Amino acid sequence: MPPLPDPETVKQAVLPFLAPQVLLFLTFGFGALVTAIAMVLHTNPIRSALFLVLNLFGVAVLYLLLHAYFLAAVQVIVYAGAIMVLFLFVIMLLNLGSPDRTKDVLRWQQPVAVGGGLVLALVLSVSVFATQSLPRLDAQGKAPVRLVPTAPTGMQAMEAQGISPEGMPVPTPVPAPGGGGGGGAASPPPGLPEEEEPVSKAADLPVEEQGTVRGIGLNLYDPRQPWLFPFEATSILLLVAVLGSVVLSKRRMPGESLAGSRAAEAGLAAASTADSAVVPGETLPGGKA
Amino acid sequence: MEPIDPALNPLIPANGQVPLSWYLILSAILFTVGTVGVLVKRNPIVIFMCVELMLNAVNLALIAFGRYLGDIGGQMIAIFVMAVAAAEVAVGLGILISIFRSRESINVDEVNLMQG
Amino acid sequence: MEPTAHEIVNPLLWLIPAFPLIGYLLIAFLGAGVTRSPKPVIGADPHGHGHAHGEDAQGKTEVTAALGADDAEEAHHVDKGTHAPENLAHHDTGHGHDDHGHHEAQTSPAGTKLIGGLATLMVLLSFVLSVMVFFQVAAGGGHAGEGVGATLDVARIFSPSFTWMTVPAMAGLPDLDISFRLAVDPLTALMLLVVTGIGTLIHLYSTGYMAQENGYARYFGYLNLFIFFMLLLIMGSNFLVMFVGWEGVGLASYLLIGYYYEKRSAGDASKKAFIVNRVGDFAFLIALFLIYKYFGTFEMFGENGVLTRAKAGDWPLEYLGTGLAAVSFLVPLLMFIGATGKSAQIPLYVWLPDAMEGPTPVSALIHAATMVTAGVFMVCRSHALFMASPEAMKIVAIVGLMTALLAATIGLVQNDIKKVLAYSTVSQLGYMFLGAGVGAFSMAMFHVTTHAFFKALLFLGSGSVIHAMHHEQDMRKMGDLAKKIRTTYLTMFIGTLAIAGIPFFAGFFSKDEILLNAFAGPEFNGLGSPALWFVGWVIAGMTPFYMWRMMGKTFKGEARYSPEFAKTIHESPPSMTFPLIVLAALSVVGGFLNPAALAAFGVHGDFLHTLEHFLGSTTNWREQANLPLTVGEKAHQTELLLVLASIAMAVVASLLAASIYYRRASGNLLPEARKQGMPVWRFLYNKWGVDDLYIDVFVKGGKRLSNWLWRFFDVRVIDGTVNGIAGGVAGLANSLKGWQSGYVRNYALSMLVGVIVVVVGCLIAALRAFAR
Repeated sequence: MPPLPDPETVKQAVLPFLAPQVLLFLTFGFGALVTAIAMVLHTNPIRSALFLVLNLFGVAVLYLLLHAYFLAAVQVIVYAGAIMVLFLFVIMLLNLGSPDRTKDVLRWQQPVAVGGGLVLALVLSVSVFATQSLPRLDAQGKAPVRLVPTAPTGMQAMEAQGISPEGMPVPTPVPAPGGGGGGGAASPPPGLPEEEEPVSKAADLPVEEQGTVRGIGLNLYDPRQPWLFPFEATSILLLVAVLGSVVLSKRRMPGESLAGSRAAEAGLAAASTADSAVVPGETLPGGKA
Repeated sequence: MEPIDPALNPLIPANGQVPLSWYLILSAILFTVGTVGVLVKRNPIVIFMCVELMLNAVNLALIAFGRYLGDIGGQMIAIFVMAVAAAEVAVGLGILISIFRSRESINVDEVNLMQG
Repeated sequence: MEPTAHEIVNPLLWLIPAFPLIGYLLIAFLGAGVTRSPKPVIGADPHGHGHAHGEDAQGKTEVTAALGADDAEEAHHVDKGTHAPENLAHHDTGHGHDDHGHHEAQTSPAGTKLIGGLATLMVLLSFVLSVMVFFQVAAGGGHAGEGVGATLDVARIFSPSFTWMTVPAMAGLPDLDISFRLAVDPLTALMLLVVTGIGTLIHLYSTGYMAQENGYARYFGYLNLFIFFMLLLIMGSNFLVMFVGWEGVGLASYLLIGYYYEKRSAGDASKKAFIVNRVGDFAFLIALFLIYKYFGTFEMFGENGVLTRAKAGDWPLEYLGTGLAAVSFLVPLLMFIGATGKSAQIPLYVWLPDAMEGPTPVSALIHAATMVTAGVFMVCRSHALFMASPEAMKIVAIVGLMTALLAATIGLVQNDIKKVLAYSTVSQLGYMFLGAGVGAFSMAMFHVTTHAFFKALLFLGSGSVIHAMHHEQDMRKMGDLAKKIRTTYLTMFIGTLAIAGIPFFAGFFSKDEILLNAFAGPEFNGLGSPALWFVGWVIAGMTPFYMWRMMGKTFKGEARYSPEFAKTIHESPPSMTFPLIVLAALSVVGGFLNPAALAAFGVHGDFLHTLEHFLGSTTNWREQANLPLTVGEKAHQTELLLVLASIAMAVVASLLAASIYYRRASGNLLPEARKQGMPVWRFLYNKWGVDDLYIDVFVKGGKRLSNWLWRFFDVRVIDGTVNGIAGGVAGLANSLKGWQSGYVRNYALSMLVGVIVVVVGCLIAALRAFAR
């Protein structure tokens, strides 16, 4: 019988796992994992969707642990709320709630996919293990590096050379972006060393507040940081997506034909001749619902 | 970045903080689960949900990196990922409805027009 | 050393080849439209060519057509009076005007007049210019001083030059900067007169001879094209321009031999001529490559010119090292092989007799008077290169002599009137090469000139005979024509006297000079030997024999055709007899260009060497113009002896042949059956078996090789490779087909595999970087 390990050693070994953050991570991380697996394993789409909701909740908690409060909220409200409702709505709309009984034509793919997944997980984990220089947080939860990226972004680099994104010379000192509070630090007098110049008011926020709505907003709309353009581009993307989904799910009028959809049109006509004939003006999607 | 203490195993929690590697591994596993789901599921809605799971896993990794590197960029990109995911769901579900209307079924095994 | 030449630039030189080219282009673009017309209004139907050549050409055609209409009216009147018998004769042979064949447009009389006139006019203009240039050359050159020791000053007229192509320096060779330039020196001037002069006569002759033929415009177009290329050949101031002309005359020759392309034998003959010429051209081309490699230029004249340097003994030794002898032998040898192709020498002479499939004027112009002498011209032009290698010179002489012998013996037994003349031509060309090979380049050119006169005459005369006989060429079916076509007979009689070497006719002087030079060995300051002379002398006996045999069989004896047919035999129109008369006159007096043989009879004077002096250094390799071939009293006696021997041979052979063939009614020396039994006759009749040998070796061998290539290389290797690749791809595709299942999720699986591969790759790369 091997001798009992020294209690002090055990304590030293176990204690780190008993920190509150660690315990929270273990709990919700495990929960997220289990619900994810359950989601894949369940054959009933509705249950899968519900498990995904649970999974999203778990991940949202992890976001909180990572001080990403805004994202956690968005995760719960938008993802677990709106998007999953949309999923459920479509499942019910299309009457897909029952498990699929048809024969799998690619039966061999299932084990191969599972095997491949295992290999992928293994490889990714190994790459994490193999990385010996992962950054760590100190006891106060401070990251070891500055909040403002040390390497200037492209835009900053240009401005550092006196070139504005529009190609115009940038007047120095840079006027601070208005609004948003944050101490209202005045522009430093010219001649100060550059690294002491406050790059952004968002940078003045403590770590914990970076992920709040205010922190996100300050960072997102800060013209010195590169997020403004992607943000606007995303808004256009969403607009296009809205239009696209409207066009795709719109009920077509009899005789109306979209270019390139003649086959679909034919199938539609064959499938729902009765519908169209009876209610020619019907524009609601999914007349069967 | 401060010098690394080689004695300190990055897999063990220190300073009462969860090590970054845990987040990454969790993210990797969730991603893999989503991947396998995409590959084995035949219901397109569930496939979509698995894609959402994969995106979530990536978001987790992004946010964790941002936190541990002290860079807000991780969260920013996660926001964009969410927006793209929402757009994808909107369009994808629209396509599903369209397919269902024309075929009375959305079984992915019946959609093999790409076969040569 | 090259004497300083007066160099004159004369832009008019461009016009000499330009006129025939213009003629060719006009005829090529407009000819079909002008000659094709069933109605009196010619050119009223311009659609045929309007589509092809656009509005511009169409407009021109109408103008030309209008001109032609005017012309036609006039011409027709004249025609009515003089050509009536000829037209009648042709109606008998089925050349109806209303026969709109599918093959080629029927010619309209007015259109043919226009085309023929245009073509003839163009060559005539060239001839006039050539005469002018000739006098310019003659005035600018001349030799300073008299007698032994006179310098060989020649005038050389250049056209302005333009850069033709520029190739940057590479592989240690200098820049290749080729200019396109024409040059006329005495040698060229002589050839110019021959080509354009005889060309004009033969064009004129053709207007009569070809009047009833289909494709009249095509004929004159090609004839003009030939003149153009021939002029380029003789006027080119560098070897590449010469080569363009060299190839061009080959092309024109091919096109004209195949003029009656509907006849299989004509098509075969044209192909044979073209292919055999290719062999020679290939050698010539390699010679040009060598010239460029060792001289770094293609230019002939000027300070750095190839000929200038070769003449000065300035072979570029820095390239040659110890290989001087080999290269200086190889270059002339290859050039000579090229010449054997063009000038029908052993082993490439076989195409010339077959080339008689072409229209007779073509045979006269291209295959007797001008093109076939291009090889002789080229050898004489490049004599500086040839003189560098005694071995090459010997080969030239011996091959020439062998060819002369071979062709003369074959000519003895031929029955086709044109074949006799064809072999005679080959034989005479052999004489020319014999002359060139013994260093008598000016005498070779002399013989080129006189031969052009009398052989063109003979061919045109035979054409007249054939014309009268309604395209019958077999002498066994002729006979007793002397009275019926008197002009033709008399002119041909003169031509025969000339070629036979009867004293004081053209052929006598040139042939005798060549024989004299062939005899003169080193002791007479020459390159020949008595053996060469002896064989040449024997051939000089065969020449009159087969010529008088031809004359006898054709014009004397009994008529071997029906009396009805005899009534249709008429003398040719004046357009055909006029050239005959002119050429007959030239055959009489042509020899007095250089009547050096008279020296043997004690005549002295500068006029004995007119042509030699005129040609000067362009053909004479001796340092002084008048360095006599023979020196001393003994030499004079020898010369007299040789001349007398030649005369005796010519006269005796002539009398012998005439006494046989002018008397026999059948025109045969021996009965047909006895001839067949004689091995010698069969051997000669089968042309020494050379054609059969070539067929066995080259044609059948080529077929066998091609068969092998087909069965093995084409089927197995090429097809095998292609089919193998196709089959491999098909098999691969078949095996990979399963991957394209059409299921998106299946494709996603491959993405997963790809992701794993990429991640593993990155991981391995990172770990290796880490371990370092």
